[in-house]
Amino acid sequence: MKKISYKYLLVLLSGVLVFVSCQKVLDPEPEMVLSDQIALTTTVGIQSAVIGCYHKMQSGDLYGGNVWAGGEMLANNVKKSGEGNIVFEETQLLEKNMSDENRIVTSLWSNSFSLIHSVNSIIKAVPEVTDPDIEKEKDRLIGEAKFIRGMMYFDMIRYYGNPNDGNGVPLLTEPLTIFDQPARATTEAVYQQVIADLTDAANLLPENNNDRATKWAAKAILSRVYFYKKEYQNAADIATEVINSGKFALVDSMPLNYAEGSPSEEVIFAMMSTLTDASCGTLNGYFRQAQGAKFSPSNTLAKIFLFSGGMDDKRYTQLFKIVSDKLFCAKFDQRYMNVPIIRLAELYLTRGESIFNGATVSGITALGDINIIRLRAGLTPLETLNSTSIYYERTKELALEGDNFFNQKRLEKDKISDYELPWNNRKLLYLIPKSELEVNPNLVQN
Amino acid sequence: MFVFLALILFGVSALGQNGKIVGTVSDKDSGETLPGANIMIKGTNIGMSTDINGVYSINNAPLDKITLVCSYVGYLNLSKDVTIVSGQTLTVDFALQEDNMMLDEIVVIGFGTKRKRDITTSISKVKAEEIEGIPVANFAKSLQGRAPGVQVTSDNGIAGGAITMRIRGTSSLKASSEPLYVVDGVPVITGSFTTSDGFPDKSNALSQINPSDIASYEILKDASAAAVYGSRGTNGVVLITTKSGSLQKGKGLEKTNFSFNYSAGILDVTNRMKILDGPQYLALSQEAYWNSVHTEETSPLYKPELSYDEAMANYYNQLPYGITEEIAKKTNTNWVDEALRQGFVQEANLSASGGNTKSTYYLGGGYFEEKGILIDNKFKRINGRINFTHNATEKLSFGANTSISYTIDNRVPTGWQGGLGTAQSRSIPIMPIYDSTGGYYAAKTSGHSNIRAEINNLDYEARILGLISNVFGQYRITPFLSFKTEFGLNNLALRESKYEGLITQEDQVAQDRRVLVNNWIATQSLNYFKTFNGVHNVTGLLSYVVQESKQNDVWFTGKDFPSPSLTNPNSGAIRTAGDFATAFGYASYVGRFTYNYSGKYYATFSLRADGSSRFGKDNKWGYFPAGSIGWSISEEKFMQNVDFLSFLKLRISYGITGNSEIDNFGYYGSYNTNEQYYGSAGITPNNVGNKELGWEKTSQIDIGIDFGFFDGRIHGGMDYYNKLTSDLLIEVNVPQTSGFSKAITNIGKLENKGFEFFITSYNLTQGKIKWNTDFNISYNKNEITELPNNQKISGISLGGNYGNNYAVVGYPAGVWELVDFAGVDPETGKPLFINQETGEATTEYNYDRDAILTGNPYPEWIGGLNNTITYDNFDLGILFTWSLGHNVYRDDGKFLEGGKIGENWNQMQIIEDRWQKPGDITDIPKLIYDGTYSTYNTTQYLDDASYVRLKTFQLGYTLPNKITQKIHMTNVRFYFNANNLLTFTKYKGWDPEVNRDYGSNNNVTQGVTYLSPPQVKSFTFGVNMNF
Repeated sequence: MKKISYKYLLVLLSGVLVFVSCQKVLDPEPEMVLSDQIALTTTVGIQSAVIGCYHKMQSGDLYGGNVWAGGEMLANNVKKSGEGNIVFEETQLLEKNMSDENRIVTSLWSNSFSLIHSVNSIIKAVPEVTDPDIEKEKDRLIGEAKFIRGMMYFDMIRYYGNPNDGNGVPLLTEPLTIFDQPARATTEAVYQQVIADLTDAANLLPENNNDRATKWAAKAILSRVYFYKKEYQNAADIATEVINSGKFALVDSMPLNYAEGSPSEEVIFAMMSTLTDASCGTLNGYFRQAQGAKFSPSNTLAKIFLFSGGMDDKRYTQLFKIVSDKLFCAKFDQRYMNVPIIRLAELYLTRGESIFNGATVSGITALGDINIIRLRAGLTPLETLNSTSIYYERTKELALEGDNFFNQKRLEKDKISDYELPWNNRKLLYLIPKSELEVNPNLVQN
Repeated sequence: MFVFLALILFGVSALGQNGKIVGTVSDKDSGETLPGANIMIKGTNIGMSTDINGVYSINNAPLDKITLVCSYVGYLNLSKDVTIVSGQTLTVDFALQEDNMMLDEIVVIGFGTKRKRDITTSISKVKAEEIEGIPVANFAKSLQGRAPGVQVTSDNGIAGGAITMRIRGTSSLKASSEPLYVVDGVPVITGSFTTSDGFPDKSNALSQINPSDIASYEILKDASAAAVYGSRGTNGVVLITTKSGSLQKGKGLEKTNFSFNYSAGILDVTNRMKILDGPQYLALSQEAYWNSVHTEETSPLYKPELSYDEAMANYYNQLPYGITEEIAKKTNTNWVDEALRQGFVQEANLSASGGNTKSTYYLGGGYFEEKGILIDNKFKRINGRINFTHNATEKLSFGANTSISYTIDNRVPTGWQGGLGTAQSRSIPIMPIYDSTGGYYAAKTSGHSNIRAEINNLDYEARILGLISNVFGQYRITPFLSFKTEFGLNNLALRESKYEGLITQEDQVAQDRRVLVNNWIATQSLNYFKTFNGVHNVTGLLSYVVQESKQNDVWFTGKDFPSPSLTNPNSGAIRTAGDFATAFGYASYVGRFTYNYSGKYYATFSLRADGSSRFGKDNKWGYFPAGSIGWSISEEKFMQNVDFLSFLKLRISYGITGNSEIDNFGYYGSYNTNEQYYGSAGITPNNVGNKELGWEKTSQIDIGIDFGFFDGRIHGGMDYYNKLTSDLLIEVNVPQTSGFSKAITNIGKLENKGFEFFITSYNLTQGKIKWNTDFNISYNKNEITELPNNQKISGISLGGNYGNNYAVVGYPAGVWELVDFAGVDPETGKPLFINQETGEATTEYNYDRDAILTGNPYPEWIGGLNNTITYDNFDLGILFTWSLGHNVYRDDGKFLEGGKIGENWNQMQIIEDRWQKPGDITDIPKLIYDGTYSTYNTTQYLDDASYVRLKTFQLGYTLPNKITQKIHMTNVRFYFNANNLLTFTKYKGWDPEVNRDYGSNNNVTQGVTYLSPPQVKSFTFGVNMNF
């Protein structure tokens, strides 16, 4: 009998052991993610969240691709190359009949607000961080956050801002919950926030920041913002500050601006790539001939080169190429290239045109600035300027870098794209995503 | 059983004067003698069993009027009253009637067993011998058509490929709808753990299990049966019992029974979709080009001024991949032949089983190899199993069921990713395989459409070690109360290697990936059973179950190698690595109480409380009650005179079950880690979090009848059920200004209603020819009844893939939204669509205005008809299965029926019936070179996918006993098996049984093909030997 009860005990014991471990079984902590309760409570957490913002920006939906390419498609600066497979979302942009479910359109909305939410969470969390490291990092982190928010809002209103009724996008400076239903702010109000953010950022950010946002990046983007807002004096003044900073210089070999590795001297801010984490994948897919580029530069764009400088223009000979009788853009040929968001050349063009439009900068002329860009491209200096020659220069210098579509709208051209739509035509606007309208009754469609 | 037998054998002699009884026990129908039958004197423990000739003798019968009871497994008991007279030898023979209904058969019900006659819930049992000899790696494939209410779809014919099983319809939209599989008490790992990167079609971990080790499948269908599995019971439960040893009756006590089987044969596609050959393609694509140039005013190619010759010169100039006029005219590559082959399958299993009164064992080893119909696709499995039980004392017993398997799975790219999918689409027949130098033609520039190059460029192998083990001990505390402890393990260790060389790409890429899944479960149970006053039968169960599962993946990729001969990732110039981890746990209490009064009135009540790590912090525990009642009407006195009716039972059950196959950390508000930028680690908001997130809840009522006529010669059952699922897990759109696009909540409802009917008939039981028929049919209607804001949710956002399937209130899950195709305009050759505003046909394609909800991806009617005929030593089994009332949307149809003829896609041969001139009546529009048609999602590509299939045809021959004995065997059978032999369908693609690759689940993306691989048919010869 003794023997049996002993065995009986053993059998029971195994069961009891398992009783003990029950609570642990029900509460495993996920290893792959970080609890939202603790993520932003430390300096390291805030730093990582800021890096996370850059990670979002580098995606193909934002600055690694469609923030640039969307405008180029709308302006018909690109056409189907016949090599890569064009998806219908791209066709819709090319044909100006984007639906409110077009993925390129909806993903700009969702990714922008996701980014802005992250930025707002960071700005809100910084004052609550208690560890001592925050003091010396605080300015830089807030500066980066505001830089990102300012730049993102600027690009959002360029796509969604409706010039006909002044409607911009919801303006958020605090993280919202899923129950909030904000309405659209006016384009003007958003502009004011953009200017305030970029101004703050320029004050808070250091001059060097490990190839992330700097004081000069904030100023350069601010100059762009003023230029698009047609506050030409401000645009010219801030451009002058950046040009005179001595930090940047035009490079002789233009492909260096689109290279792998460290950014060239000319690049003020870029989305950086590494061999394992490229920012340029989407742009490679659009333009890189070696992997079956979806797009070729359009005839309209090619003609501007050929009619104003032709084969003398290094921007054509070095940055475009012809393969089997087809023209391709070679700016995005490097597989791990940094995607330049703003270069010094743009600031010369911005300042030159601002002066042409009435701004004054002592000792500087519009013609001088434009000729700096022409000379670098191997062209002869112009003797006189007119609006067309300025437009050509900007178009060529920034070809397929996401500027031209908005530049045409700024100039209020009455025939934009192959479809010859006036600049303020609704078909040139991105629509608010259908799914967003369904859950937020306070939004009105473009 | 053997314990019982032992008691009889060692029964003590009665005292006093004795009489002698002798006799023979035989089968009433065949007259064959039955060795090992038991004869007992009722009310005593005196008895004897028959010897090998079916003869018994009892020497110590008391001199009295006694009742002799003869019993034998599988036969009805027979009693005879006799009077024993001293000194006289009485001869009493028994001719036993086979128990056609097997009412005393033991059925596994989850946390226990029951006699079939006592069951008051809906459970289908499939015995292994019914599905023997079907050469499939995954047992689930052979269950098709065998059990009512159980829909099994083999997603495709890939060796080692995936299956979809639905028990009583789809109960979820976003969570899994696959049943819970429990092997010997251990809920096992299912689903795919291999990479989907480059290999869109999934594998399934169930292929780790050797079907020939399995003794029976019990499928729990209604709530009362499945509610003991609580939050995991909604989708039904498949209980798998593996083989165990048993004492061999009538052949000595400790004989070892060896069994060996081997089969081998060939595999082929069930059907070939016809696509264009070189000359056809060239002619039709030229026609399309000419139409665009000459008559299509909206085409970018439109230049009516060009002559035909000029246009053709342009045509040849624009051919891709450097194909010239000369090459185009002389090339006729059958790319499908370059991707397909005749497959080969072979299987060998050897087992030994046996036992004595103390111990029983089953030892099995198996080898399975399938060289699939897709070139390079191969699946191999080696496994071993040992099942062992031992009775240490009368009270204490213990044992283990353990299987280890090792599989090697060579997967291949399929569907939109390559292989056969590319061969039927982007590989055009005017492209040669080889160029003039003997190398692969345009290997690097043809966008991976030279699949010979592609196939040769890739090496892939997954090696998986799988373990399923259950160790148990049981102690009988009192005669009525026992305690059982069980500990189960289910582990998978997977190593996957992938190498892509330089044939088709610029850099070599090698990847090594490891997955480890560790899963344990511990169950402690108290079981109580007692009969009061001989009529009140009571059982009780109390269990405590804890389960934990962890998964860890790591992968390592190397790119850009110094030498083409290197294939290990570490040699790459660019190396990346990653990992993944997840886990879940359950802690559960299970209680069950059953009562039956004298085998007439039954009642069962059960309750399970489930705590799960998957549920939000504020909703940690779920409670799942269920009950059922039964009435054996045929046991009533007033029914005793109804001779033709041998059995009739009415049963009703109701209960609540859950579906907790939700994301492991769906409730957890979190930031994503490893969101790097420029070499720094970053985090981004990931999940908004929901502390109340829980299981999906299903309440189900089931009303069933079991019946038997003419001594059970005809018997069967029917069930009506209504399953209402609420708290469906839906990702609702939230304002994106919150930083999130979606938040997951328990909202939404759907229902499944249906009935099931099955009948078994022993048509011929006497004489040389024996014939019986099994028939089952079931009907299910699925309808979504509530969604947040009545929104229409796409299959893609529910974890599926493209295919235009939606979840919409008032429609079955997966209904399609398509524009109604109305044929081709006989005048212009343009496709016509119904304008939903005017009701008239128009050539304008306007999806927003004209799309309608149509079709149903899930069959309404499924079933099977099996006939088994034996004649002499021959046996023949023929199984027809069917699936009726559902559709398949060929999402590739819009590309393959003219849509992408101008984009270098091959086309289906049916486009030869295209419109050519005014007046032509056809469904294929005028061919044009622009991709306009390729954007049309219309009912033109929605096929009626109903089919009837000659699923299994098996002819066997068993060697006569004389020969068998000479070679010292007990049984030798040769057989020929054909699977998926014939299919009757109107479906236009490869095979109507198809499911395209999907993301995390395919509840809504169902019945869609996108270049998906077809099914296979097999022809195998095999032999079974028992000795």
